[in-house]
Amino acid sequence: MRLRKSLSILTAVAVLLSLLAGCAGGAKPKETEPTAPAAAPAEPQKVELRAIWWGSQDRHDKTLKAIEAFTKKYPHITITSEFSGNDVYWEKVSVKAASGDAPDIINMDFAYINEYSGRQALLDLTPYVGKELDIAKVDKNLLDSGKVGGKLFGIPLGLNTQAIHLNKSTVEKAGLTAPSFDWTWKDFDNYSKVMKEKLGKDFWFSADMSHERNIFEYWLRQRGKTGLWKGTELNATEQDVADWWKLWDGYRKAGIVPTAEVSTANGGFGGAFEASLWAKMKGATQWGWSNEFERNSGVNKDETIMVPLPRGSATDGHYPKASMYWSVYSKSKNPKEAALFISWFINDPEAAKILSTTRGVPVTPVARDTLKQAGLSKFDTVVFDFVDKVLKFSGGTPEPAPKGNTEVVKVFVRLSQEVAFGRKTPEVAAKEFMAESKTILEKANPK
Amino acid sequence: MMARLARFPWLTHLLLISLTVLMIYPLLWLVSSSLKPNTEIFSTVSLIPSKLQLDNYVKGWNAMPRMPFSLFLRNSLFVSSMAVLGNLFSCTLVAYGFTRINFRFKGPLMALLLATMMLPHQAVLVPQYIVFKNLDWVNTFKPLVVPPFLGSAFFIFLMMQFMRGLPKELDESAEIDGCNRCQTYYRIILPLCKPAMATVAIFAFLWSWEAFLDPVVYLGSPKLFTVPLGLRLFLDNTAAVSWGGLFAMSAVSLVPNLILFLTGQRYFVEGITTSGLKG
Amino acid sequence: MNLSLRRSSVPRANSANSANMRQLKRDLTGFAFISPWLLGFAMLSLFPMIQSLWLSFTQYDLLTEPVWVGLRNFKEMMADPRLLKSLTVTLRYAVVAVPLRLTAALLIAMVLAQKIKGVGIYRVLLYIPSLVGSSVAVAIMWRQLFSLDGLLNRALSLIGITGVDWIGHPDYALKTLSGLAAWQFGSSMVIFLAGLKQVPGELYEASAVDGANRLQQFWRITLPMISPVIFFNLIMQTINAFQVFTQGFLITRGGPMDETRFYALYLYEKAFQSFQMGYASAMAWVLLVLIAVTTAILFKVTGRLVHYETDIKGR
Repeated sequence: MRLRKSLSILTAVAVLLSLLAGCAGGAKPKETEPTAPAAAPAEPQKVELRAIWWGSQDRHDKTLKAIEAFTKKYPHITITSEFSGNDVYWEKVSVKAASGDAPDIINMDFAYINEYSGRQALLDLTPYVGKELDIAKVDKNLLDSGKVGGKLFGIPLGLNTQAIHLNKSTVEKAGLTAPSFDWTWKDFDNYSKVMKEKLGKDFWFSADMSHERNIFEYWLRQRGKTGLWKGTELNATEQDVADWWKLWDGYRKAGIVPTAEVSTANGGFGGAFEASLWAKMKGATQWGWSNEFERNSGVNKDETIMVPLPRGSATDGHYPKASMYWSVYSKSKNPKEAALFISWFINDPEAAKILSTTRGVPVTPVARDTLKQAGLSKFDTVVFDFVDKVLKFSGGTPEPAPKGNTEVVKVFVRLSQEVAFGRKTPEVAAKEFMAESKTILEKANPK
Repeated sequence: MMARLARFPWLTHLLLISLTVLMIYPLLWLVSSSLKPNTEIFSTVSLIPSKLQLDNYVKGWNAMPRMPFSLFLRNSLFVSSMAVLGNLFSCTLVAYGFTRINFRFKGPLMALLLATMMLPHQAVLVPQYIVFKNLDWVNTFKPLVVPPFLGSAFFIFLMMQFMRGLPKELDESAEIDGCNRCQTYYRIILPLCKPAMATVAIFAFLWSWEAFLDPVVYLGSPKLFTVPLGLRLFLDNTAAVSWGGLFAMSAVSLVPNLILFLTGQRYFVEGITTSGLKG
Repeated sequence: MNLSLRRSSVPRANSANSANMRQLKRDLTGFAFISPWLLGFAMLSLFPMIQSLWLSFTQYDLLTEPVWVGLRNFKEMMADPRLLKSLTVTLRYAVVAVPLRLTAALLIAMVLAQKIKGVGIYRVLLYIPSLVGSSVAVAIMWRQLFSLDGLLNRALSLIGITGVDWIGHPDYALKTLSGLAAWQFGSSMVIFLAGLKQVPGELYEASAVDGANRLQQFWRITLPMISPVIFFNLIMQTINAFQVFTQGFLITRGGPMDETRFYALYLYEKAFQSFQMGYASAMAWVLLVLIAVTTAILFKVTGRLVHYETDIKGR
C-alpha cells in the first residue's frame, strides 16, 4: 500500500515537473513573430537558425568555433547545429527534408544538389546576392557548379581535388620510396604487393575501393570519358563497370587488397572514417580529397603526404571540384539570416582563420590571403601546394549528377559488396547494375 | 529430461544460474563499461574496472554542445508523462463504455478495436504522417502527445479484461442509488481499477520512453529529441563521444525502466499475464 | 391522433417507447464513453488507411503533389529484387526468432514451474532483458557485443577461437538480430509460467495414478492445457516480428548488403529517404494483407490443436 502511494506521489511529481518543463521547452520552436510595425525596431529581433553538416571531429570542432565567432558578431542570431559522419548524413537529411522541416542551413554536395533542388527542397539564393550574400569574389567556375537551371542553390565552400593520403613512414619501412606525382596503376600494383609481403597479413597498402563512385568516375575519365553522367543517363558502359569490378576482384584474389569480410569490419563500403583501416593504422593509404589532409594526418604521428590518384593515361582523371556547399532550405523561416551566415562563412577573415582548409582551399581571395598572411599551418601549406600542382594537369569538370543518382549509387555500392563477397561475378553484377540504374534514372527523369 | 532434472535439483540450479548469468552479463558489461576508462572497454572481458571512471558520466552528459543530456531526459519525461495521462484518461473511459454499457453496434466496434491491435504500425505510418504534416504538427511534440488521449487499442483491451472481472451488481446498485453513468464510472468502477491502471501507466510510460520510430519521424530539431534520439545522435558521431560516455548515457536511459520494474513488479507480471493469458 | 387513452394499450405503448428511449440513451452514453477511441480510430487509423490505399496508386515525394500512376507501384514491387529480399529477410527472421523465443520461454517456464527454490529471483532476472530489450541503449550494447573487437570475440579468444565481425558479416548479421529477439524471452516466459500454474494439479496426480510418465504428462496434459496461451503468443509475436524496425535500423542499418533489410526498414527507406511515399504506401498495404493471411493460416493450422477450457470442462 505504501509502495503504491509513493509510486503515485512520484508519478505526480514527475508529471508536474515535466509539465513545467514541457511548457517551457516543449513547444514548437517558433522563431519570434515580427514585432509591431509601429516604430522601426531598435535592435534586430532574435532569430534561431539550424544548421547541419557532415565531417569528422576536427571539422565539427572548427565549425562550432566558427559558429561561436559568428554569434559574437551577430548576437541576435543563435545557431543550433547537428552534425554526423558522412556515412549517415544523407539518410538524416532526406528524412528531415521529407518531414518538411529540415534545418535552415544544409551542407550540400555536387552529387545531391540536383536531387534536392529538383524536389524543391533548396532555396534559390539569387535574390540575396549583393545584399546579405556577398559572392562577388568567388571564382566563377566554382560558383557555377552550385547552379542548377540558372538558379543558385549552393554556395561553394572550398576547392578540392581528389587525393590519396599516404603514410610515408610505413612505405619507407617496407623499403620503398614514396610515389611521385606521376605514379601509375602499375606502380599501385607494385606497392600493394611489396607492402603485403613486407608488412604482413594485418596490413594493406590500400583499402577496397570498388564501391567508391568518385574513384570509378576518375578511372572512367582515364578511359577517355568526361565523367560518370551524361545528361540524365549513365555515361559508363556495361563493359566499363565489369572491368572496374574485375580490377578490384583481381586485387582481392591476389590478396593485396582486403577481403570483403575484412573491409566490412574496417569501415569499408562507405562506413565511418573512424573505423577505417587508415584510422586503425592498418592501411598505408586513404583515398579521398585534398581537404581531408589534416584529418587524415591526425591519425598518427607518422609523416603523411598527399599524392594524386594513380595516373599514366592519356586523359587525366583529376578535376577542380567545389568541395561542398552551403544550401538553404526552401522552407526556411529566416532565409536572410541564413544567407548572412553563409556570406560571413566564406568572406570573413576570422572565419577563414578558424576553418582553414577543413573544407578545401577557401573560395574567396580574401579568405585565401588571410590564411597565407596569418601563416599557413603546415597542413594548409601542403593542401594549397597540392591543389596548385594537381590543377596544372587536371582535366575539365565532369557533368553534374542527375536526379535519381543517389539511388543509382546505392545500387553501385550494394553490387560492389556482392561482388566482393563472391556472390556475383563482376560481369553479372555489371549487367544488373546497368539494368537497375536505367530503370531508376528513367523513373526519376520522366521525359 | 525433466524427470532426470527433478532428481538432481542442484543440476537444475546450475543450469539456471549459468543461463541467468549468460543473459544478464551483457547488461552488467554495459554498466561496468560505463565506469571503465576507454582503453579498457574493448580489451578485457572482466566486469571489474581497474579504476572507477565516473567522469564518463560527466563527459557523456555534456558531449553535445549546448545540448546536455538533461535536455533529452526532460523531453522524454514530458512525452512519456503525457502518454501515461492520456492513456489513463481515455482507455478507462472507453473500456468502461465497452464493458458496462449495452449500446448498439458494440459488437462490431469491439471487433474493430481488436483488429486495430493487430494493425502493423507501418501500414499507417506514412498517412498518419501526412495527417500530422497537414495539421502543421510536424517537428513538435503533438504527434507523440495527443494520440494517447485518443486511446490505445492494447491498453483499452487490458482495462476491458480487468473490468470484466468486476461484478455487474456494483453498477446496478449504483444505478439504484441514483448515480448516472458518469458517476458510476468515476465513483465506483474507477477506484476499483487501480491495479489495472497501474499496469497501464507503467507500460504506457515504458513504451513511450523507448519509442524510436515515431520520434525519429516527427522530431526534427535536436532540441526536441527524446532520449532514444539523443543516444542515436551520439552513435552517429562515434569519434565525438568516447564509448565510455556513450555507455554511461545508455545506462542512464535505462534507469526509469529499472525504477518502474523494482517498484511495480507485480503490475508487470499482471499486465503481461493478462494480455498473454486471457487473449 | 388518438387522444383517448385506452388503459389496456397505454402501458404497452409506453413501455415500447420508453424501451426505445432507454436504448437510445444507452447508445448515446455508450458512444460518449468510447468517443476518444472512435475519434482516434477515425483520424489515426481509418482515414490514414483509406488515404494510404489511395496513395499506393500514386507517386508522391511529399514535396510536390501526388501523381496518379495506377498499378505501377504494385507492378514494380513484384519486380523489385530488394523488396523480395526484404520479405525473405523478415520471414527468415520471424521463422527463427519467434519459435526460438517461445521454445526457450516454454522450456524455462516448465523448469521454473517445478516449484524450485528461488523461482522469484530467476523470474525477475530472466525477465530483465525483456524489460530493456527494445531500447536504443540495448541496441548500442548489442552492436558492440558482436562487433569485431566486441565482448563476444574477446570471450571467444580466451578459448582460442578468433571471431568474425558478426554484425558486418552477411551470413551472421541476421542471426545476431534473431539472437536479440530470443534473448528477450523473459516476457513470454512469465506468461507461460502463469499459464502453467493454472493447470490443475489434480490432472497430473490422476494421470500419475493411471501410470503416465513425465513425457506423456507433458504431451497429454500440459501442452493441451496451455495451448491457447502458446497460440495467442505465437500470433502476437509473429505479428511483432513482421514489424521489427528499431534494432535493424540501429544495429545493422539494414546491411550488410540488405541482409538485415527488414520490410519495415525498406518501407521507411522508400518513404523517407527515397521520397517514394506512394510506393511505401503500396508496401504498407501488402504488409497488412500478408499479416492478415498469415494470421488466418495460423488460426487454421493450429485451430485443431488448441484446446479450450470449455472443451474439456464440457465433457
